[in-house]
Amino acid sequence: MVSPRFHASLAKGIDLFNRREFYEAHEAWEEGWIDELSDSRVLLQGLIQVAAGFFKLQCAAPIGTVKLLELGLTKLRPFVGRSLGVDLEALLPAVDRWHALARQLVAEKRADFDPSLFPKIGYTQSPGLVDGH
Amino acid sequence: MRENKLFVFSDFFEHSTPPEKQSGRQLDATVSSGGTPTGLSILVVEDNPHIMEMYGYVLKKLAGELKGRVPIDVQFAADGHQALARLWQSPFDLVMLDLYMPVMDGFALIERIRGEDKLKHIPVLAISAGGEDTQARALGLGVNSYLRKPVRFAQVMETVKRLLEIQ
Repeated sequence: MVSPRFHASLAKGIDLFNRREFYEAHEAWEEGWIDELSDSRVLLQGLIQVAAGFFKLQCAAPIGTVKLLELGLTKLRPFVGRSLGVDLEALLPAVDRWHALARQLVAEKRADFDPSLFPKIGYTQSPGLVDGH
Repeated sequence: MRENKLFVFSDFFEHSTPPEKQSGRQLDATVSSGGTPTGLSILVVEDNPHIMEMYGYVLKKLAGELKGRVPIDVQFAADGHQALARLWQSPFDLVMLDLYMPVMDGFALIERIRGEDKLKHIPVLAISAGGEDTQARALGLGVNSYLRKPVRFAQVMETVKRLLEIQ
């Protein structure tokens, strides 16, 4: 069972993430993460790190992107199949591709990318139906 | 065009020229939307590049809200000494500063700003992890506003708008 703020935080962060407002998404998820006592806090932590990774890319800092996406992917992978409605099966391969791109950017000393290709986060079920909420 | 221009706001998020030099991130940089004498000039004094990125993001968003009606020119300095050099070079509408920095800290910088006729009118926003003693000392030296780290995006945005008198 997650804390009452968890789902509101999760949904708000997803909305911001899908608008490419990655810094604000990380803040929204952080609000839920701080209060969360169950192991679902690791799911939020992984999402925070993914959002922070994309923020670093927006700041033309792909070295930070590589590190943060790696950390986020490691935390999120165990949640596939029990992701509280977050469609990780679609998200994780997309983040993997961006991780590879960021590594390439670092290797080639570049920081250009197409922001229209940033991934979006979907739901596997209505967020209102998850966990009895 | 200023010599230390690194990239422009319009480039900052959608596509980027590479400020991340392989020798390390360049702290002493200018972000500009093409600042003009009628625009707003903001000096950010901060030695932590991650926090600097956050402030840059806030100011980029502010420029976006203003939709180019008021160009915003942002310069960065990594310590008080660099900041003073910038302040003597050109006028600023706001100084955002950390208090604990190498070379010359924020307290010394505030004293210099408030002690100079040419600079003392500039609003100063101090942002620091320091507690009540730090806040009291900064306010006693004449900062206009104090925010305690960790700060939220909305806090910084609202305070900057208030100090710049932007509705």
